[in-house]
Amino acid sequence: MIDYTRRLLDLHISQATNSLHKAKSYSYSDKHKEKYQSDLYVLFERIQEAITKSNPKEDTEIFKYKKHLDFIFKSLEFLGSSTLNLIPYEIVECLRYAMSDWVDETDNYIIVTSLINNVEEFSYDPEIAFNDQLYSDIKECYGGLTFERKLVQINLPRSLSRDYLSSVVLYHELGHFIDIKLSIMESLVLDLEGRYVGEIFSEADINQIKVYLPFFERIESKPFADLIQVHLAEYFCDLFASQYIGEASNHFLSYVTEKSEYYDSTHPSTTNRIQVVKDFLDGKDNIIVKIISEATKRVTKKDLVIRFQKIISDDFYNLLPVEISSVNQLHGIYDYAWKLWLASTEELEAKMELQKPISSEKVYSIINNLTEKSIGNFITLHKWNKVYLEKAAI
Amino acid sequence: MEQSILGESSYLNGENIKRLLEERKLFIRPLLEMSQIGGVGIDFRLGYDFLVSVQGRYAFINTSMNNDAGGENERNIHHFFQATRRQIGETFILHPHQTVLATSLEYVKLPKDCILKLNMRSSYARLGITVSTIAQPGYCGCLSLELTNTNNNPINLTVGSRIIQGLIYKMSNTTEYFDVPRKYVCHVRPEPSAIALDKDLKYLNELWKIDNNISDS
Repeated sequence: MIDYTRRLLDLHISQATNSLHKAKSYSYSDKHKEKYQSDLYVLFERIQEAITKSNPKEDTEIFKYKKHLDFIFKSLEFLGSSTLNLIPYEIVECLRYAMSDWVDETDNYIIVTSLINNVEEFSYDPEIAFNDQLYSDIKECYGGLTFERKLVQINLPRSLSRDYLSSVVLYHELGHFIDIKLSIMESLVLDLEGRYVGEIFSEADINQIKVYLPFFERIESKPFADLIQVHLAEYFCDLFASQYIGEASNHFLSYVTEKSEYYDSTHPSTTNRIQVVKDFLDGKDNIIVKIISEATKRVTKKDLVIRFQKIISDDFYNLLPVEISSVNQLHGIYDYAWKLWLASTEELEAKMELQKPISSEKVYSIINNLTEKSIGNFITLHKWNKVYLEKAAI
Repeated sequence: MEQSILGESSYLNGENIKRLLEERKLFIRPLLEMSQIGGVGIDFRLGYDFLVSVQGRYAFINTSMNNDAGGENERNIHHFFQATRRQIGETFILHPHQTVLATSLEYVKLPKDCILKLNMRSSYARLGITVSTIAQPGYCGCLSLELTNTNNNPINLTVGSRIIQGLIYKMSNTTEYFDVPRKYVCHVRPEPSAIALDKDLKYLNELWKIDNNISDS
């Protein structure tokens, strides 16, 4: 009689063989990615050896191997879209700078992107980076095999991978990585529950919180506490992103959610999210900004502050890339690009040396090109100066 | 400024070029070293994006709107090029007799009265690499480099290296780059030929149909 589950494990192994074979064509400039992929081949060999040796028949053991094969598939999915030809390199470099503000050991992480055939699919996938149990199982089962670096998996639409206006959303997605890694909102929910139970909040505070977290008074119930944490995480990520990109993601968010005034199980209402970001940027009192800022400071010892420098320049109007002089200005390029996109036709036509009338498509193309080149030039100069100035000093 | 034998137009020496940069009439971003500006021109560096010519499913690259030989036009050209990228400092191999579209690392904006002519630097020309590019007055964007290796051996090039020399000619008058519709504006990556946008091809196609009693149906 055929062992049904075991036969499906064999199918999974055949599929993995095929996927790993195809992945041999992936070529990386980044040796960390290459090393990660080499480790996947080693892992697969050891899984095969272990299966041959143990000949698993029990579901529990078979599913253990399934999880390890899933890890290979998930890793390949992201690595495959992260070769230099495909990865949105300039945007990812900006995210790496932002990450370094919050994580000391950035070298332990590789930001990878999966290009998804869905125009709304901007998301963070925490499946691999924080699965400590999985890494520990792999180490134990396969002779101490370790993955030195973890993948930070960010999904974005394939068709918008070089769209520098909508890509501001990726800062929000990076915020999810930071939040989960440092357990900021997890800590905040526990703190809020304690303060609520201890009747530390005034009625006025509670009423204000309820505007943004309608279930707040049910925080003692686990399902509601979870929902509150999910909503707080979204507010946190909005604030995290706005440190670097100002209001830029609000423009995109309000459009894609059709200015929704309603919350759902995964997100607060768009109107509330936009208000929180506005109040943060304008330095106005807002209970959500206050509690999230306090929690962030408590957990990370870092402040939520505006970390981008506004770019004051007519360079884009003059059809020139901006000469970015600092990392803060680097993040500021998105705010600058959005300002140009939102400028009136009259202003564009008065300032830009282009044949009139200027079409939106032309402006879109120019903004994307100049943003990419401005970031690219900063990265090039940074790398060049590092070597050139060091050599000159000798 | 040195006088041309043709009259008031002239080519610019290094000092003139530096002055244009200072006066913010000429823009080169990034300019990694001021020494790129030599006595008679500017050295430009190889950029990191490439369009490599490949053999596709179409029999030939169609630069005509006539359909007597089959094939479509604009989309057809894209089938013959594949995008690839390197990082600065990495190498790119140029195979014998292959055409590769690259760009300069530098984004350039020219004054309205200056034309830029590009040649391979002598050290690269001696290896058999050719380029043929002119940028018109007022042009803005990375410079398109159509590199061909006429050598029988592959040659690897370092991204970021100075491979091109540009000579700037000052004209006696200014021209407005955007007075006519432009196919290439602020490009920072190599773009395949936009030959299909040439209006005269439409007229020639009409003429061909009329001459040969060819109907659209």
